[in-house]
Order: sequence, then C-alpha cells, then structure tokens
Amino acid sequence: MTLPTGVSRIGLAIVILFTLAAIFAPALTHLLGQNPYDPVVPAGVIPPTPPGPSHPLGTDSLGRDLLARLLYGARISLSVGVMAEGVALLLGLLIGGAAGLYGGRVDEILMRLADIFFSLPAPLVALAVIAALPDPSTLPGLRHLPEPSLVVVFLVLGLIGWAGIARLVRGQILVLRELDYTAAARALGAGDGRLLMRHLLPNALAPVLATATLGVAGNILAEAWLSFLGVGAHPPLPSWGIMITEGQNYLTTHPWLCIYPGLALLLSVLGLNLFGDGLREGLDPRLQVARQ
Amino acid sequence: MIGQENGNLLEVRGLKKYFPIRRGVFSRVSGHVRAVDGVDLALRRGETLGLVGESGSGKTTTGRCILRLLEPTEGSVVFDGVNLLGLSPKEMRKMRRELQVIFQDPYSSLNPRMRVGSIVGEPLIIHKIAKGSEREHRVADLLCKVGLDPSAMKRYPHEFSGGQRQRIGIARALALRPKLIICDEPVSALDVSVQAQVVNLLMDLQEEFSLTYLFIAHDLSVVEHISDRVAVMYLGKIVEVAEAEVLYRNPQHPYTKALLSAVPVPDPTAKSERIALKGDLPSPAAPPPGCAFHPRCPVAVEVCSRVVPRLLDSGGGHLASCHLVHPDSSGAPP
Repeated sequence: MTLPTGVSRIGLAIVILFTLAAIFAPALTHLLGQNPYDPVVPAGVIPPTPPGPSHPLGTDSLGRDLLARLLYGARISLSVGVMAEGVALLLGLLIGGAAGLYGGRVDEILMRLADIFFSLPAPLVALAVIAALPDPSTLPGLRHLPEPSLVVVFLVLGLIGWAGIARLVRGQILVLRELDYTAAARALGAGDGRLLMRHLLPNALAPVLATATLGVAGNILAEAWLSFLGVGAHPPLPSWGIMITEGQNYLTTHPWLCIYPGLALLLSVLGLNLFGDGLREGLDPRLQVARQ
Repeated sequence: MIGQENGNLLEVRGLKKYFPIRRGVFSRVSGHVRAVDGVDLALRRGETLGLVGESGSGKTTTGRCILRLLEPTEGSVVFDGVNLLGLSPKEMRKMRRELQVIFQDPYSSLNPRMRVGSIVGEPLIIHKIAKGSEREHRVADLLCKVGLDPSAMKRYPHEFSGGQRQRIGIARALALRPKLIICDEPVSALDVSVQAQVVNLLMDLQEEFSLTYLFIAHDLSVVEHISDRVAVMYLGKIVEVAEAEVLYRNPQHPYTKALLSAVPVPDPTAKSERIALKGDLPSPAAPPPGCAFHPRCPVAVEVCSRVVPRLLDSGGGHLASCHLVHPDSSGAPP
C-alpha cells in the first residue's frame, strides 16, 4: 500500500510535525529563551504582549508564552483525539465484528443500535453528557488520574463515536467470512474467537485504520469545541479551545491570541484529513484504476 | 451403524440444501434454490470418488454440507458410524480432525496475513496437538511431505505460485491426519502442467496416509486419472455412479455420454462423435418437472417430462437414473 497523491504526503508531513511538537514540547519550550516558559502558571503581566524577539508568538493576558502553550496544546489535542478514537475503535471492532460474524438477530440489534448512535448529533450529546456529569475531579476512579477533565472528554467522545467504525467492520467481515480461508479455519475446528481475532479482524483492519485517522481529526475538533464552551479541558490547561475562549476578549486589539490556536487547529485537522483520505484512496482498488 | 459394517467411511443419504430466495421489503421467502436436491453417496475406505458436474450442479455445495460448513436442509451424513448432522457444535469441532478440505482457489484459501508456518501449524494449535519446537518440527515435516522446502515456514502466501500455494493448503489439510479429505476442484485453477504434479502428489499422499478422497471436479479427464469410482451430478442430483473404467467405457446416462463426448482425445486420427447439448443448465430455483435433464436430453421420451427417475443399479454397482436405462424406474421408492 502506498500513499498515492502528493497532497496526502503533505498531510502526513503535517501530522508528523504536530506529533513531534507534542512529544518534544518541554524540550522545545526550553529552547525558546532565558527561563523555561511555563504554559500553565500565570506570569501576571497584563495586557498581552505582541510577538517579539523573546516571545516569538507573543504572550497571553496572563503573560504566558503563546508558542509554549500551543506546543503543550498539541499534546492535549492529539492525545485526546487518539485516545477517543482508540475507545471508538475498540467498541467498533467488537460490535461490528460480532454483528458480521453472527449475523441474524445479533446483527439486526447491533446495527440498529449503531443507527441510533449514527443519528445522534455527536458534539451536542457530548456537551449534554459532560455538562450533566459531576465535576470530573470528584468522580471516583478518575480522581487520581492526572487530568480527569480530559479523561471524561475522550471517554464520552469514544463512547459516542463507534458507530461508523462498527458499520465498516461489519461490512468487511461479511465479505471476508465468505472467503475460503475462513471456511478452511472453520473446517479445522477454529472457534468464533480464533476466527475473529486471527482471520477476520486482521484482514479488515486496513480500511478501518484509514477511517480512524479521519476520526482523530473529528475528535480534535470536538475537544476544542467542548473546551471552547467550557465543558472540555479545564483552565488553566493549554487546550487550543480554551486559548481561543481566553483570546475572545482581545479579538480586536490582540487578534493573534485567537489566530494562532485557530491556525494550529486548522492545520492539524487538515493534515489528518488529507492523510486519512490518502490512506483510504490507496486502499480502494477502484480509485486506483480511475487514476490510471 | 451401517457404515462400519460394509466398510463405507462416509454415507450420505437424501442430502438436500435449499437456499431461500428473499424478496421485497419484508424479505418474504418467495422460493428456494435447490442447490442439492436429494444426493446419495457412499465412500469406501481408501478409495477416491470423483464427483463431476457442470458449474451450478451443486457439487461444491454437497462437499460443504458434508463438512457442515453449510447446514444441510435435509438428509443424513454418516461418517465412520457417526451422524455428523446430529453433533453439537463442540462435538463437531472435535470431529473435524477426521475430515478435511482442500479448496479450489489457491489465492483465497490462505490467509494473506499469516506466515506459512502459522497456516500449516494452526490445526495443531486448535486441537492442542503440539507446541513450540515440536510444532515447528511437525510443520517442517508436513511441508517436506508436500514437496516444499521447510524454509517456506517464514514466508507469506503471496510469495508462492499457485501450485505451491495449493501444496500449502494440502499440508494444512494433512496436519490433523484426517481419514477423509474433500478435494473441491483442487486443480481447476492451476496451469495444466502443474495440475498433473498436484494430482500425483495427492495420489502419493493417499497411499502413504491411507486417505479417502471425495474429489470434486468439472473436468472428466482429471477425474479419470485419480478416481476409483465416479459420480456424475446434474442440477442437484446424482445421475450416474460407476467404477471409473466402467463409466468411461460404458456410460449409461445420456448426460454422462454427452460429457464424455466433450473430453478431448489426444489422437488426431480418432473420430469422435460429439453430442452437443441444447440450451443451458436450467435454474435450480425452478427445476424442470420429471427428469431434470429432459429439456436438454437428445433421447428424451414422453415419460421423462412427467416422472422423476430413480437412481437404480444396473449391475455391478453401476447406478443410473434414467427411464431409458431402467424402464421400471418410475415406480415409487421402496
């Protein structure tokens, strides 16, 4: 499998860039200047300073370096996006796998359930669910985790977002289970578990991963959206959504407070979408023929 | 049961497989495709029974019903004295050690994401026969038996040619030391030059492991070489069964005669009278009344369109279902 178009390679480059930024955020902020720029603790200088030699992207209303916050924000966006998709993937593989393998009534019930989840306005439901939950830091089991508010966000996004993956997996399995190697495994006496884990899911995985890449982009947007509305990451976490909320008040005088996190969001989502589309096209033989 | 007394390893009686045709919004069953419509077969221990017929005659479905890869609609499959159709899923999984299958398409029959070692070793894992280095040793041994180098273990199926892949499939089927192997057109997808190699391999293995084969094919010339007896299938029914030599020398059913006349003879001076059949195989969703072959039969008489002929013995185990061969075959079954 190859990435077909130049555009999807650009997408991959952007994804790699953001991933590296997220991983090396501490080291990169150290490189920035005299003192380690803390993305969280306020320095107490008001108003925001414009971009300059000591702060390449300027500071926010609490004197925190904007670039440092953006770098740490990439950690939040990417990890919530990937973790939420991980939850969706796990549910989608299990539910879609069971529906495809057993068929009949099991299939009927699980796929109608998927239809219901598919018809939900996901961000609104996530908003309602998270708003209805008590403060995450008081929830048992979450209290000792480093960022309880982020854990709630990715769990809710994952629990809502599995339906598309489940449908895709089911469709793949309906095709794969008619192939001779599946029949051979059954003739050898393989049970349902082995059939699913060794023969069906591994061969269904490639298109599912392409779709999951697009899902990560959607989750990043959803996280920013929720944080913007104040139900996602809790301040003072440097989530891009929170940064835009905080920058709103200075939109006319200091627009870069909103522009930079907005651009980071745009670029990362664009990169993931280009890359995901490229993956999907690369996997679809019909599209390859069309290009030739 | 009967199976053990008369030395038959497999006895299939009255096997039927109907696929429902669903139509409309509410998936109402509007009819059935009679893929297999009352098949009787018996396999003696150690023999090869060739099962031939056109595409769509139900030979593959018959094989899959015997293996219970498809659940038959009706009938019984008695293997080594045990009715397979009466087994629970768990008992059936155990029984699968005894009967295995080789598929037609060497490309779709091997999981592309598993190494050859895992493919051939999988049955040993499933039935907890061998672990670790013992399993590796057995897999290497099996690969040698089918004429492949043991180094093949570490490679993936796509690295092999069609013939080699078919050998991998054979090694997998052999791993459990089964008594019966159902060969579902194992050479139809291969080059002619490779076909003979694989057929000869199957015959060698049969001798070494005293295997019984049900050899499904659409090509009479391949079957002639490997089979002890041959059964001819038409539209879900067996129309003629005989010792291979007898069938090829003295076919009785008009359909068998037509099939044999289509086999190319490697002798340019030989004059063959080719019997060309009219029309296509009728739809198994609406089989013709009476003898299913009568609309295409060159010698059909009036009774053929009314009465279903029975498969009767014309002496020496040569069975045929034709009113012209057995004028009395219209009677009710005993």
